[in-house]
Amino acid sequence: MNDIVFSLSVFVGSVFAGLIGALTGLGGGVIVVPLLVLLFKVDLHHALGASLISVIATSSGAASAYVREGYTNMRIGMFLEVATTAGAIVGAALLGILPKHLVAFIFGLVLFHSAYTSYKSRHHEEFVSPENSDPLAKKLKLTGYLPTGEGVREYGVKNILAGFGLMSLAGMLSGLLGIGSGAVKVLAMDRVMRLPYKVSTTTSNFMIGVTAAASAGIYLKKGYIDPIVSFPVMLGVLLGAFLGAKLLPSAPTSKLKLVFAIIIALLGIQMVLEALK
Amino acid sequence: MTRMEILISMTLRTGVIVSSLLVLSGGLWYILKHLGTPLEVGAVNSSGSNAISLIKAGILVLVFTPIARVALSILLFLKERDWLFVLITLWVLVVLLFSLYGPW
Repeated sequence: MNDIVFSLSVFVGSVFAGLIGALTGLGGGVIVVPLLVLLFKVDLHHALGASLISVIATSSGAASAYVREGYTNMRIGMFLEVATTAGAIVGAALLGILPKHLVAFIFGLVLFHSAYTSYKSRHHEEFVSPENSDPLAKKLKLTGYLPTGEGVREYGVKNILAGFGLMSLAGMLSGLLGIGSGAVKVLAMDRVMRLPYKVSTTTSNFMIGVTAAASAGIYLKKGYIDPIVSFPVMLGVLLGAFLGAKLLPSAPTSKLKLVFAIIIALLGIQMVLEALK
Repeated sequence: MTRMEILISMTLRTGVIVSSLLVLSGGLWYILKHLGTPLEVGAVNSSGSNAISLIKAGILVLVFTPIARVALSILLFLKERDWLFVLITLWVLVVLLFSLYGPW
């Protein structure tokens, strides 16, 4: 009986995680890990393994809809994946060289600041016009079209190299701290590259599946991906991700930014606590 | 909608559906067997292990879904003769496979 209660409760919590993950572009992991560890007393390694599965599930499930609907900028996503994958290698190499606690602490502070500025700017959105794009954007064909309430609009991209650099940092952080780093991805695309908010979150969502799949090998080999824990997580998160993808088109950007700000503030607390341990 | 968008969306959707069907059938099987024969340890174990293999197969399909997406995009960029993006996606695939089968 206990097995059923456990599976069902984890399933319900995971639906929520998938929903939030798909709407914010952060993946389900931000919620799955604390849920499993604090509420269900799953040990951290198996919780991280299940979280990895939840990130791949949210990413693939929601992206199948976002790509079709034209929110995801796949070219930007694939271009930036070069940076995140390279960064992840560097991050893994720096493991044990860089002081992990200090990195987690600084990252936590950055997240607090970003949560605050996301909250403050939540009513403000301005598209970069294609003519004002970074010259590299034309060469790489990175500008795109986005469905909005007032029809399809064309948008441009700014500061591609700075965004690329931040993405390498995002990859390094995920290699070093073992987190999905969706937060840095969304911030880099939204703040630095000035992409429309829904393009930033859905493109981040598109990318995090690849980042997570890259770490899956080591987790599978170490046996951290437990089938009994993972199955309700995966099914719940998928259902949530499909619901989130249904909600995104009509969701106002200001509400999405508010949810994003709350979640990255919680992530910031998690990081600072981790650093002070 | 471009051809690439349709194909990539279909790949992701297929991967997600196949993996969730495997995981769902394995998970239900596990729960039912666990309930029905709580005392027959041997029976639980043998059927349980089949159920677990189904879940594991589903998880593997899920992990390979984004990888299949990257592999497919290489082919699509090749067809478009977009050499820069062929290189970009090829790099991502190589790093992915390296970290999946890497030195650990």
